[in-house]
Amino acid sequence: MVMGLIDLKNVTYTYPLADEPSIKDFTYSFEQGKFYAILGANESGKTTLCNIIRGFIPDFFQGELTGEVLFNQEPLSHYTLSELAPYMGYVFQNPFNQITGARDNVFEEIAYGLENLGVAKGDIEKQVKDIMEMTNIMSLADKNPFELSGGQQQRVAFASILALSPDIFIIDEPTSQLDPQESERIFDIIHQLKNAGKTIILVEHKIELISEYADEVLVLEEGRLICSGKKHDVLSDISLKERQIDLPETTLLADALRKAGYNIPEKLITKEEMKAALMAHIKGVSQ
Amino acid sequence: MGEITLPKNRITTLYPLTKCAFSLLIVLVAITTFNIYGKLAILAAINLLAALSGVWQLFNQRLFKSVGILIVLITLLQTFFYPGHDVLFALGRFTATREGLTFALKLGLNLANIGGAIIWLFTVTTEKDFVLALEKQGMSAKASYVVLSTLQMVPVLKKQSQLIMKAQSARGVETEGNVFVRAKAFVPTLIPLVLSSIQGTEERALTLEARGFSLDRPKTYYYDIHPEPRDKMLVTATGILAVAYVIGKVVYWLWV
Repeated sequence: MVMGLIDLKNVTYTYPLADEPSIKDFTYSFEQGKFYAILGANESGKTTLCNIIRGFIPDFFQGELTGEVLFNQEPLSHYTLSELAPYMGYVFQNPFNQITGARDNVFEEIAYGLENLGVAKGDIEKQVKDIMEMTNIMSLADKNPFELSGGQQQRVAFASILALSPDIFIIDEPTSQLDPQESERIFDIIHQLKNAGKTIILVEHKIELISEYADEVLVLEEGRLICSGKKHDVLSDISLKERQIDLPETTLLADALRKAGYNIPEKLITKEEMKAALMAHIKGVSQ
Repeated sequence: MGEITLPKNRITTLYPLTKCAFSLLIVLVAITTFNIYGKLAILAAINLLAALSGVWQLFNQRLFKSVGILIVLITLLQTFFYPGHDVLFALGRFTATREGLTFALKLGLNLANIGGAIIWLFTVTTEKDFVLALEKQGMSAKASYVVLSTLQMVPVLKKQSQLIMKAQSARGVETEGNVFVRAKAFVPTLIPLVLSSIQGTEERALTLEARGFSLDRPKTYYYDIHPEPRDKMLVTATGILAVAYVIGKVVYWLWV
């Protein structure tokens, strides 16, 4: 196996008092600069996997963890949770619980992590302003984070981690409370992060956005990795539909068209790809 | 936190620990003054300080809300039940005595003076500034986080409990009515509130770690406050005054 930035080898984890492991014999290598999307039904182990990668398991959540988790070829257990903060950013599912409560306005809430890292005051100001503009929350700067709506809190939580500029972003459903326009903006930022060489590990249900932006897709089922690889290979696999995995509309349409006898190329997952294929088909028919 | 804008003047802009030193001096004088007129003079001095700070009205509102009712209650109880012989008037079987009234006034004034000194401090100082000053003085980051987040979370939890109450009410749980009805509605409100708070605490602890809370390196304070030369001078003067007052008091007790 090629050594990646984060390597998990035969990882199995069982929560305290649980009968069954939540993650079963998971082996995968996450490489630098790639955008990974994790898919799976509810309770399939997506968040647990993120917690293992970030080191919250077994450092914070007890239970039984077997196998190896390596960060830069070094056991993750060599780092404390806070020591990992400059390298691994984690955006949690629930935005409300990501408001620290240590600061009474959005600007300082975003600056909080940088304060802990000891970044110079002038740099904090610049970084926070840039991030706030990027995430479209400049107008919230003086507001109390607890008085924001769920969607606004979600953007503040994301901005707080962006400000730290870690190498790896572990993001658990960052758009669950956002409208389509803001979701698109978040994915655009994630895409920019990827282009800047950051590694993204994302749990998300908005499959259309994943089909557009991700590099690789991992599919979990009852804690087991059932499918992984390049997004075109995974998301065009129609058999996943039977396993309660959402697939892009393009995949479903392509399958339906193929079944109806149309000659549609394999591995189409985005609307643009489908549009190009249909145009080619129409052109072929008209000639 | 931060809902009331403080007037900016020479007193409110003092360093929090300077104002704390004033407050402690007032408490010291209040607990060592036994004469009723002396106690009244201290209350007047606190009021003067509040007026000079531009917060007289707010200070008195807070003083009344926090200790006012207690003082009224204590005064009534002690006036009627404190043992004494000099009867002032009678209400049915109960008699008000001069000894009782004097004791009640002393107790009430003590409460008003000590409470007043502390209330004045937190009327002219934001909790954020006070905790930051303590942290810079050596208080642990964990302790300051606990204080600040608790102050922020109280109104949030209040809102949440109201929301749960409304949700329970929408499901047919009786939430309006007499004490017993309200007490019965309290349990189904409290359980989801406590459980969600516990779950939230777990995730918030991880949020803090994800932001490097426990990192063993010097932190930056984006929002920062510093004592000015006048603060150092005033704290020294207050300290000297406190020592002189204690010595004076001891000498007075020894002589009289």
